[in-house]
Amino acid sequence: MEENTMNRTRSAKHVVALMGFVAAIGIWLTPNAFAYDRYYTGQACRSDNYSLYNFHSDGMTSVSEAIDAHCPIGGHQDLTVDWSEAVVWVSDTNSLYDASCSMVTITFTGTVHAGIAESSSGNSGRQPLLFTGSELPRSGTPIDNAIQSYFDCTIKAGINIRGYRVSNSNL
Amino acid sequence: MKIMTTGLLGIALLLLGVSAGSADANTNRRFPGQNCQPDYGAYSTVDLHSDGYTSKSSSSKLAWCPITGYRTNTVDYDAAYFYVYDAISDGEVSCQMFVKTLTGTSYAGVSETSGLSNTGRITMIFTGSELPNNGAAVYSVVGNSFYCTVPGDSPANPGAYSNLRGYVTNTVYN
Repeated sequence: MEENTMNRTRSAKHVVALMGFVAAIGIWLTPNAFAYDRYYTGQACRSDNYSLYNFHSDGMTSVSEAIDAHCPIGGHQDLTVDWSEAVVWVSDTNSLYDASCSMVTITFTGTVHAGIAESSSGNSGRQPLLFTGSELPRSGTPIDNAIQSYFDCTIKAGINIRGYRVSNSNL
Repeated sequence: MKIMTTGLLGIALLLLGVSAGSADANTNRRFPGQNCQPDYGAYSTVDLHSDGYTSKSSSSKLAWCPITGYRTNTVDYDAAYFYVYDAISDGEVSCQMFVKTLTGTSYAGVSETSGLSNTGRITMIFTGSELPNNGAAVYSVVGNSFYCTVPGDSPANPGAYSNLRGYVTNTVYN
């Protein structure tokens, strides 16, 4: 009787241990398991080239010439950012020019951390520009006192910025 | 004992992960009118001030007011509110919300208007069928904004301008 109880207890412990082990492995293998996503619409982007862009239901488009657009990243609660992944969704119907975006984070003391630019290719329609690892500001490592973050994009006629997402390990 | 501790730690991690990834129920998100931007050709008429966005024009202009910062790409609105100041007796502010998905599908809500009277502060309320997809969930969202038509001043109210003061969304997910 006592031996049965001990066996049952031991089995229960093994089950708990197994569940925990599987859970831990699952979290370890899941990218961005502790990252917080935030989504932004292309109509949030802005540019100094006031007369050269317009907005519509699918975001922001250059009217003719290449314009420099800034797409703000806001809403995070923590002043330290720890980017793990970012995406800009663009629509490219221009066979001659591509959309090009890079992610920038600037600190309170003025240090500029610029990531590596990603570009669309050809008139390939809707496509994501994906930023990971070294393509992110400070290669995706934590940045303290981050008071400004944005995407810096260059777009021309026929190219629009539809929306964007960032993943941050801090809220 | 070690095995047991490891197991419990793993379960705690799992619960923490589930908690971190779960959506909070019905969240209000507030946006200032200064977030709104003019459509093409209207940039020279815009005045941003402490009371929001004003289109200082003699004709009506379109403004885009972005909805940003959600932690999920599923939107599921229960309500939305747009606060305007109506200064024109023979023109009205109208706003409409839309959602655009990754595959290009558009969901437009129904326009609400401030009415043909210069009654000052007005709250336009969007519920049910006035919301994109009748207030049901929309998945894989990449675009989400209000677009509003702001009237210019008129002979009835020369030099008076309506403005967009702010907007609020109420969502099942945040």
